[in-house]
Amino acid sequence: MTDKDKKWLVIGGGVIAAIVIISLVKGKTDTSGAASDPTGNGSAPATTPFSAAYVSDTLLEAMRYGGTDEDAIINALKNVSPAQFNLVIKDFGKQSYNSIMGNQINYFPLSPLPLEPLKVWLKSELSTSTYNTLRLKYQSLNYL
Amino acid sequence: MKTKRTTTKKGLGNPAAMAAISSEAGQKAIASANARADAAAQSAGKIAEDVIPFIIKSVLIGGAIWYGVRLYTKRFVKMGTNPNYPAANVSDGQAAARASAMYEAMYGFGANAELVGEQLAGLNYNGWVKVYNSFGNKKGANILGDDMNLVEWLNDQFSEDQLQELRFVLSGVF
Repeated sequence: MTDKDKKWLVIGGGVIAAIVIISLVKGKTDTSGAASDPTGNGSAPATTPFSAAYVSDTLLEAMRYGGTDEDAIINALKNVSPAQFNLVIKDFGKQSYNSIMGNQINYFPLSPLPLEPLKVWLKSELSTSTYNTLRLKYQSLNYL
Repeated sequence: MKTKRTTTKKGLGNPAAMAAISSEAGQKAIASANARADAAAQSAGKIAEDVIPFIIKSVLIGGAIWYGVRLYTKRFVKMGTNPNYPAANVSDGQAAARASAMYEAMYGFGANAELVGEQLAGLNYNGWVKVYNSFGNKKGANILGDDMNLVEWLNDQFSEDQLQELRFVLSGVF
């Protein structure tokens, strides 16, 4: 091996060592993915199309009759971030609710059904585990 | 009445064979056969001397290479944070605590999906990356199994329904 070869070997080894050290020390970054945080828990607004009124109507339809379609509720809220859920809560507002029967049928026409917010509807209509799952997802709102 | 004859004679009793062996040609043939047998034994010994160390060396070197490749391919690869998304909403310490709590909730008999869900709840993307990296690779319940990262642990421990619930709590990351 000539001196020139040795010199190139040393330079090559140094470059490789430097690359390895830099890659180990420097934190990784990943610039792929959509423009907004996929978890929905970021501060940046979600860019996916979203209609609070549509989600709110879907929730009401899933709960207003006898029995509750929990799958429909979970599917409707699957991609709804906490910030978006806040809009759904506002859009839902308060709806008349027969909490004994779990529907909107008023058996005593002389006294109107009480108006209840989404929280009361969900707590009354969902199983405990599903409600707790919702509570975990939207815990940052301190609403459920 | 017949009686059984016994003999105390040993060795070859055939006179013709004895004559053949005793002859010069017979002695040469025996010597030649002995020489061939010695040569064959020496040759076999030489082959054994050459081949056995080669096999041992090959096994050792192959094993070392296999082990090295396995260590490399099974190593934990950290996820990169994404600067396009908001900064992590948990500190390094909080991420480590969440990772540890999830490991405790999953290790051993049964896994507590609710507890794991509590640790995942509220994380943003870069927070998830911190927790994932803090979890690293951890030994599974099966001592013969490979180390698993957080996503592999979740997939290993929970049913599809439970995973759907966890994905509902923290969507878009696993």
